[in-house]
Amino acid sequence: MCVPASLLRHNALTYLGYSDSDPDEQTLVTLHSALSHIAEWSAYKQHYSYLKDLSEAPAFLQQESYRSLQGKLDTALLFAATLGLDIDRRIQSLSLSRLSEAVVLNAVANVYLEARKEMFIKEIMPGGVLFCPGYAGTSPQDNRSVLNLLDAKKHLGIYLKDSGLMMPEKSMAGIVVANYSFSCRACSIRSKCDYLRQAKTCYGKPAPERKESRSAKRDNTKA
Amino acid sequence: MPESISKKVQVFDGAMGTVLTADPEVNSFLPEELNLLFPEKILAIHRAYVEAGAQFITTNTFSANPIKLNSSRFSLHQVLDAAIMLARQAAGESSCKIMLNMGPTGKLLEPLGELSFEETYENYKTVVEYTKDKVDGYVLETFSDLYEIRAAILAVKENSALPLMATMTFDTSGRTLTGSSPEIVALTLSALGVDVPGINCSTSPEYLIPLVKRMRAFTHLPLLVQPNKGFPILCRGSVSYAMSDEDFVYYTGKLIDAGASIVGGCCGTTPATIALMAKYKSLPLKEYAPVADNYICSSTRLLKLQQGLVCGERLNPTGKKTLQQALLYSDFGYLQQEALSQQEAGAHFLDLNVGVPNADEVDLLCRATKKVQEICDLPLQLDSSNPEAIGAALRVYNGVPVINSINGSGPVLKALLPLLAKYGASAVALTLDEQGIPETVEGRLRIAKRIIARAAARGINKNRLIFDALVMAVSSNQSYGLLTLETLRSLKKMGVLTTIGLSNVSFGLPDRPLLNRSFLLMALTSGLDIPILNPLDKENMQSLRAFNALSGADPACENYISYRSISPVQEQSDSLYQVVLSGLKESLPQAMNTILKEKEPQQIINEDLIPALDEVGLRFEKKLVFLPQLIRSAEVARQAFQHLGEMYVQKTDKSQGLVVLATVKGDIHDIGKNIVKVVLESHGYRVLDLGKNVDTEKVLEAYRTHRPLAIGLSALMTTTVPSMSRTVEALKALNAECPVIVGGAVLTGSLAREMGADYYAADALTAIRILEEL
Repeated sequence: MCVPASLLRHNALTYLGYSDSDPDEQTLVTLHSALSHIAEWSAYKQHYSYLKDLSEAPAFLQQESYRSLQGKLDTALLFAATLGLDIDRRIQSLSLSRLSEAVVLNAVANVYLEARKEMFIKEIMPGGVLFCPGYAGTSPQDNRSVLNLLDAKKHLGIYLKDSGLMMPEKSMAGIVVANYSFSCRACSIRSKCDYLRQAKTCYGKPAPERKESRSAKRDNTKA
Repeated sequence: MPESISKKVQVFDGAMGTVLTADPEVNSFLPEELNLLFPEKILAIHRAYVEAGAQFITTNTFSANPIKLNSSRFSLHQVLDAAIMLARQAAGESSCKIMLNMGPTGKLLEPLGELSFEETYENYKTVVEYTKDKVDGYVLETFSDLYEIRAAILAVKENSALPLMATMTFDTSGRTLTGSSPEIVALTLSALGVDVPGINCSTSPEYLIPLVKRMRAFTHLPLLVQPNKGFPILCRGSVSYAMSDEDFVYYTGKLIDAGASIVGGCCGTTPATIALMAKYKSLPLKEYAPVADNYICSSTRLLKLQQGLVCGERLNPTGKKTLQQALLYSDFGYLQQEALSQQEAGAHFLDLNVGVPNADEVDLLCRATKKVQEICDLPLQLDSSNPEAIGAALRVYNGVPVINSINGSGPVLKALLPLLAKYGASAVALTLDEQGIPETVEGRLRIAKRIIARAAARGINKNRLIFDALVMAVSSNQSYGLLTLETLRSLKKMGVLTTIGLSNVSFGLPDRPLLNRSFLLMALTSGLDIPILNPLDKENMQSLRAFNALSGADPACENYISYRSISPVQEQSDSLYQVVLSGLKESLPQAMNTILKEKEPQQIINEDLIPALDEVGLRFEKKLVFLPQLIRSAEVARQAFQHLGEMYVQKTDKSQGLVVLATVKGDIHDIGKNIVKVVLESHGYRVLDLGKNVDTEKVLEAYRTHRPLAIGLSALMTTTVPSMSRTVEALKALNAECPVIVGGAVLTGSLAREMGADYYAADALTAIRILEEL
């Protein structure tokens, strides 16, 4: 199954900041090359398991911060995916010799992983979303539980470092749930959310309340 | 290892975990603790395998090592003692061999992860030292990282004389999780002296048949193959395997036909599986043809040593001040860039030499080897006159390298041949000895023959040696060139590979490139196989490609045609200002040539480079250009600065000052930091790049040594912000006089303030503005 090239192109350009502008010719050439090769340069793998097939419900999902998922877990599944180490190595090498190409390839790899995940969800749970630990005040460290329960090290080669980073870098893990919509209202860190302060949300939609966004100003000067 | 292993099929045991997880009484415990908590269950499983006909049983010690067992209620010694005793009890007086099972640590090794090579080695050494007089051998299994299994193999080989089996797992793409192919695994494990390499776990047995064939082509050793019983199915908390025992045993027969010598089972197999498999026991094995031993590799790239290759010579600080400085300050970015540019120019492997005065060459060669392997997958030629440095670098090299060099001198052969034998490396062999360089062809051949004989006595085939015919300056004696050519012809008659360090020939004469190029062609026609040269010299590379096409070394002229089919880049005649503004890297040389005829370097910086960068910055802020264009302009400007620096600016010391950059401990994302580096350099700042995953102490050391203009720290993840905070605190505790600038995707001005940083830079241009204000 192929991800539509036009979708990848659009998403990659948005990722690079070109949402309202046209890129120059050199960037387009680099982008075209990255888009043409991304499937070959990466080794996409995914692994999942329905919560109901686990011997017991994962303990981390009982935490208050996961309250918004309650009632949706009967049909939910744990999911992890990766593009493998080769693409990390390629971006790393490029970043030393042709940094601008590395930046473009990095963007393409990110949107490709995202698109492959979306294709999977569309197939297995139409309308479902991937809720990743770290969203909405949940701890990124819960990735460890997701990856352990999926035995992702064995199936996908995803390692979680002590710092909480996943290796390969282009990896994701979380819980796929149906009928879920992200909202700041139910979020436990709403009062101290940096996104909201900047009039943004962690799920890419506009911030719901303007008054919180006024105080948000990127401070580029003396800290 | 018993000789019968290479004559007849042997049968190993099957899974331990599969049987244990099916038992609800024990499946919540650590499997290794069961040796003490439920010894009767472990004993029963071992006995069932012995009764099923297994000729080897593995102890229940997969995770019994200091790293993985650190949270157990039992000590490592308790677990090992109990596990070995149970296996011995089960074997009784049978001829069944007890193999101590060792699995991976579960952690990633540097540079991908946090575990060092030496820590990994020590982890396995602890186990081996305690068990070597208690078992019949070792089996390392289910490893997915070539580097980790390498550390474990060295721990076993250096601390015991027992037989060693070592198996890795492959995914459906036919590679290990870190990207090694079956050929590379077979080559590397055999080179390190493993008695039985092989495959275990992985996928379903039918997928392993081609992988076994591929391994078989790269080792003459017996192969151990222990597949899973098909793919696992998870349902309602339990795992099952769809393949029947009969099908599994059928495929086992196919695996034996493909080259497996010892067969067993991994996940999903039980004593019943092994009982059916026992029918293969004592089946005579085919004689395996000797395999080619003139291959080298990195962890992901295999290379046959043969005519037509190029060894890149540029990772050598001799006569290169910038590289010398970079190595002295442990700034390996420059070395990495040199490696990548040689790879892009067509080098097949790279010579690596770090001989810098006043540096600890042993330590430096090790670190440089790791750093180059981190970003470049070409195999390396480890180059040093210090055997200790060669030994240390061979130890940490991931794959099978070449060393440069051995020669006919007794002490040199005594020091280096054991290293070649131990690590299975190839070597450049110089045709000189204690008496110096013979001035006759016969003298050089005598030395070559002596080296071949001494190497053969150590089991090292002459295919693993590349003989250097030695080039001396024709300016001192005009016959030297012809002497080298005649030596090459004579060496080829001996059936060995040849090399020369090309550029010596022209020393002391004008227009050296012309002489080098001419001599290269003369040497190639005289039998030179693998020149060591500068691959960035386009004319040399063109000559070489043409020679390979004409001589048949490039089958079907494939490389020559593919090279020629790349249309030459059209050089444009834009001004330097326009070239930087548009990021036109290819047009830079011409623009520089033109402008240098009109202006002085400082004028160029002030009137063209800086204004162009300012304009790019302005357009970036107005969202008229975006990150890729900004970086391209910065990269071109940086090259222009470097060019000017090499020519003139060093003398006038117009650098804007030194900035230390680091991605903090725990974080390995460094694209953002690299962008800042390029932009700073494009504005004339010198950058000491400490890299990624940098310890606080290393940042403090850089401050103490260099007293920089500023220190920039980067972190991408919320989880690594505390690490950044610790580094900032440590710098403040040191009363560091330079400002600390922090940046990264998750940072904000308020976070920066909270951690005590002096400035927050949202992007590279903000960092420039901050530095300009200092």
